[in-house]
Formats: sequence, C-alpha cells, structure tokens
Amino acid sequence: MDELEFRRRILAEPSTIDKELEAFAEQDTDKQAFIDDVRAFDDELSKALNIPVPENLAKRIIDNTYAAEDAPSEQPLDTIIEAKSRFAFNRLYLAAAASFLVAISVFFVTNKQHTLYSVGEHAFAHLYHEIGSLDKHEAIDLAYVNEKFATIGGHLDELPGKVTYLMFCDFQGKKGLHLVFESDFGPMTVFIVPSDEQPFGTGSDDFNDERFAGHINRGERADTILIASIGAPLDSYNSMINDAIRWLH
Amino acid sequence: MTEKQKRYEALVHVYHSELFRFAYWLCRDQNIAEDLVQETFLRAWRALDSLQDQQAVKPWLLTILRRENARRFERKQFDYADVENDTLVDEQSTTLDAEMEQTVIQRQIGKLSEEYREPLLLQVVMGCSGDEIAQILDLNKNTVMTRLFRARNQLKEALSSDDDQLRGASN
Repeated sequence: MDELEFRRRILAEPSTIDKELEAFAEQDTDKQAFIDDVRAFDDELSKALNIPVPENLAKRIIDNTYAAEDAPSEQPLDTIIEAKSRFAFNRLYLAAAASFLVAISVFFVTNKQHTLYSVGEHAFAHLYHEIGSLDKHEAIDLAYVNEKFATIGGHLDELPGKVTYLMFCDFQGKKGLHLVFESDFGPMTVFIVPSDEQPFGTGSDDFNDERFAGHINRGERADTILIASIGAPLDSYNSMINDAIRWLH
Repeated sequence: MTEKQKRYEALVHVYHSELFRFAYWLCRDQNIAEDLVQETFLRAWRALDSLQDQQAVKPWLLTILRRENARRFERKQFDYADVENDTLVDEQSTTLDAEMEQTVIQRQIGKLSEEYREPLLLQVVMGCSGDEIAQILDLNKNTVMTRLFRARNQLKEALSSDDDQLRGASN
C-alpha cells in the first residue's frame, strides 16, 4: 500500500480501519493525525446531516398505512391525510358533500374543456403537492414573513392566525409566496402570486374539491388565492386577507 | 395485533428516522421527504410477506424509497420546485458557531453532484456498508469506494476554501 491508497481508503470509509491500514499507519504520527482528522470531519458531517425528524412520524406512518388498507378501494395517498384533519365531520356528511361536489366538479370540468389550467386545477395541484404544509404548528414570526414578502414588493399588516408554513414557490415560472396560517376553522393556505405577466389560471374565481374550497382575488399587482377546508367561512377570511395586503412601491 | 402488524410496526420504528433524513437530503424538502417515507412504508406493508431475509430489510426499504423518489419526477406535471427552502426548523440546541459550521457543511453537501452525494448519504445517514451501497445503487464496490473518497475529498476542499474566504474577508 502506498500513501495515496492509504488516504483513499480512509476517506472512503473512515470508520472501518482494517489490520492492513492499521499496520501501515502504526508509528507514523502524520498518518495517525490524518485518520483522526478525517474521523473528526465525519463527526461534523453526521451532525450536519442529523436533522430533526417530525414529531410522531412513526405513528402517522402506521396509522396512514392501516387507513389505506381499510379504504374500500385504492386511493391516492393524499386523501388519507383526511384522517388527520382537525375537522370532525361525520362520514355521512362527508359522503353527501363528496357526491354533491363530484356533480359540481363534473359541471366545471365539462365547462372548461378548452382552458389550459383553471384556477382550481392550478391551485389544488400546488396544494396537494405540498399537502404536508397543513400539518405544521410552529409559529413563524410575521416580521419574518414580511421580510420575505418584501422581496416581491408586498407587506401583510396582520393575519387572522399564526403563520405555520412559509415558502417561496414557483407558480408556472412566477415566484410567489405560499403560506399557511392557523384559523378557527383549521389551517388555511394563501398563495400570493404576482400577476403582472400572466394571470393565475383562468375560469371561475371560486373552486373546490371534496376537501377544500378556494377563492381567487384578482388584484392589480398580484393574484391572492385562499384555500380552506370545506365548511369554513371563506368570504370573511378572504376579505381579512385582502385588506391586510399592502404593496410597498 | 397480528404477527404481520407487529413485524411491520417494529420495522417502522427502527427505520423511519434514518429514512426520513435520507429522503430529506435527496429532495431537500421536509414535506416531500415525509411523503416519500410514508409511500415507502405503505409499499413495504403491502409487500412484507415477500421479505424473507431480515438482513436485507434496509437495502430493500432504500430501494423502494429511491424508486418512489424517481417516480416523483415522472408524475410531476407542473414545475413546483421550491425557490428557497426557508422553513426548515432546527429544534436542536447548538451554539451559533456550531450552527454556522453545520449550515456551511449542509450547503456544500447540497452542491455535491448526485453520484457523490447519494453514496455518502447511504454511508453516513443510513450506516450502509460498501457492499450494501453497491447493491442499492447497482454499482460495483470499487466504484462506490471511489465515489465515497471523492465525495469527502470535494467536501473537505470546498470547506477549506470557504474558511480561506472567511479569513480573507475578515482581514
């Protein structure tokens, strides 16, 4: 073994030092120091990668797995999160609401055959893509939210609940804000997407599916989309949010 | 509780943290990482009867997770890449210096190309041996060892040049 081979092997597997390597490094303080150095570096690496795991993840995984198995038919995983919803809807109500909304959806779908994306399709695709955003509880300071919002020229005076999720997202090439706040009616999602080049989808300003209802407020500077669980008073929250948004310049 | 449930729940408890961390460092998004781990374990539950060799559990789960991660790109219809990952909340208490150092390391890990990052994550986060990594990534062991060596080498070089820049800036 030569020096290069020694270094390669230590760097490839710092925790596994076999007899051959040990013999090669014996009585050579430089080589011993190299081993110590790489191991110390690996400790730092482990610490940096050791991010916190979400609380109760194991329990959620197990519950969701059994819920998926109990479901009468194969369902996409997204809908399983319904079980975690803070709303205590009874099954009959949900079933009635779902069948009613299927009828509504069919109406909307058949009426929008020629549009590329409706507002609802666009908003729901994004919401379901980051559905875990609704399960956050840690408060994010409004000042921090505004620091981020200011980069696209906006400011929020207040929100009707603490912010628990904040992300800049790419809405079909347009950088917009995606935030979630806690309301008395469960978590609500807000997208604020600058509208100077293209509007956020087409079609009706109101949309819904089996779980959520939403509304888009088309502003001069940005489109503001609010999505809440079905049954929440969307209109009043919608006005509160749109009244709270100011544009800085 | 059935035997299958007992076996399954033990599996989830033993591997969910490591798998979550591995998934997070693959996709850099907590929500997607959680979904990936959920989907992995759901598939594992459905295929649990086919798993005979307990020794093979970890590579088996990792293979499922990597496949799920790849499928994510296939089914992605809209481009919803996050522009910034702002909300990663670190609940561990660390000193500011240690925190800064970790942030610097995390950034550099993010810059590693996937062919170097993935074997390194499998080794450091998942505790996989060289043989296991070779099996999971479908590479020969020598290639794996070379990539691990290069991954650490690149990281060390990048971090020492970061240090140099910091020193330069403070002069």
